[in-house]
Amino acid sequence: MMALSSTGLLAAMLPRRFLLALPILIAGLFPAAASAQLGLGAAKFINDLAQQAIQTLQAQGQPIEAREQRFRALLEDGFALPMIGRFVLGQSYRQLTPDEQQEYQQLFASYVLRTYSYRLGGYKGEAFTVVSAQVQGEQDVLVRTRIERPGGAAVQCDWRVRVFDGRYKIVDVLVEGISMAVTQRSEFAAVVQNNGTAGLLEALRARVARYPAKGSTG
Amino acid sequence: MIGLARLALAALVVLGTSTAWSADFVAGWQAYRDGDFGTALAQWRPLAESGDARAQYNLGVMHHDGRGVPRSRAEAMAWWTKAAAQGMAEAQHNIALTHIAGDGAPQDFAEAARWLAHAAAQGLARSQYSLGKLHIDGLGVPADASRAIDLFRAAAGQGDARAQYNLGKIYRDGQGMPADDRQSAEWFRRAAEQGHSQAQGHLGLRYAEGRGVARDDVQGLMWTTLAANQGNPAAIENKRVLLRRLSPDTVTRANKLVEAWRPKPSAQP
Repeated sequence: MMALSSTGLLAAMLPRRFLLALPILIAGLFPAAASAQLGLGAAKFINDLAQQAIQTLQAQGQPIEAREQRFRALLEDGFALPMIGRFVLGQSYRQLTPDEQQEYQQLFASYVLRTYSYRLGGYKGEAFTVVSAQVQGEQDVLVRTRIERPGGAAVQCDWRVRVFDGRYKIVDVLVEGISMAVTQRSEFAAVVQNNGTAGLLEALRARVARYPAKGSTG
Repeated sequence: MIGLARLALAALVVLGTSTAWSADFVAGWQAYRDGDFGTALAQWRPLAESGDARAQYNLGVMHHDGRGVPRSRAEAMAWWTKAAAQGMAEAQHNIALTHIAGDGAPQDFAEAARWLAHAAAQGLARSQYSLGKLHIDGLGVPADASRAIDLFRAAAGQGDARAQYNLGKIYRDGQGMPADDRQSAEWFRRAAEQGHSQAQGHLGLRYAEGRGVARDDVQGLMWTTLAANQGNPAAIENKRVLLRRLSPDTVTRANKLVEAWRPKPSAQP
């Protein structure tokens, strides 16, 4: 009995000159395959995240606090917030005391989450489509999406995604080609210029402050 | 007699109206809680337009959050200004924070401090805390640690966890008063018990080092873990160090405490 291994079968089927070329072909194909895999994975990651976010926002009959909490958890999981936070503060990050750095990171995370909650909060049946996923460099993927609003113009929204410890995370969002991280960085720099890092921390505290509605007993 | 009857009638009309108002307000609140913002708006807008401060305040919140209406900080400010003019401390606070945020109004710390002073004088803990921070940093008001400490104390006494945490830092650093490790640990503890992650991190470290409190490895790991579970980076690192150092029995006991732990509800109004 002769056991047929797949290579044996392949060897039997392919002319010798092909066999010689095979290792080179595989070596050439592998990065492309890995890269395609990276792109597909990133596209799926963005699509899944968007679908879950939409589902959360549409969940009627649940208290708003529960919906917001779920939405925050999704975003917190999906964004590389500590890295983005350091980037947008630039050199000033090093001027903060360790206590302030921690508080800043927490404030920044809340600020980003709040901003996206607001943007998506008015969700009214927009269609979210992943258009493409381009691998850029060794570790980043730019996932292009289109958000179509009923009766409004479509918005092009691109997500720069990177793998950290085997998990995809968003490192930047480009709305109509404009990087939110870069925009934020110049806005923060202006506040620091006028009122120092203390002024920026105050502004962030105020921006993430909750203004609860008053109830009948409140 | 006729005068009395008229008075009674007038009282009845006023009472009847205010009961109807109240019912509308409650109906709006119930709808709001259920996420039915259209109904909440329909109930609250007429009340707000007739001068009900609570309804004005809530309309401001809805505009601020973009609930049932397009998000607009400017609209929010307009409604809060009406409620603040009636002396409502929460509305005064929100106006102040809008000036600090520089979103919906130009960033203006001095204007913010004036509004905060009104609300703080009415005893609103969050305004006492925010004004305290402005005094610590000298933003819009002169830097004044002892004024800040008074304000933090007032807010902390009402259960404001951020003010408690700030008192912990002030006692630790001896800012405007002699440093005091015991007082510092005590204020960190009060904030930590309400779930303040940075206070939990500091308290964990205090127990691990026996600084300001008697050393207690179980408590040290418990508070450090609670802070780490909230994503506090320093606590995540400290937890790693503690786990290498502590006995399996200590770790098990700390983990049990972590599982059973619940934040103390804030006494803050």
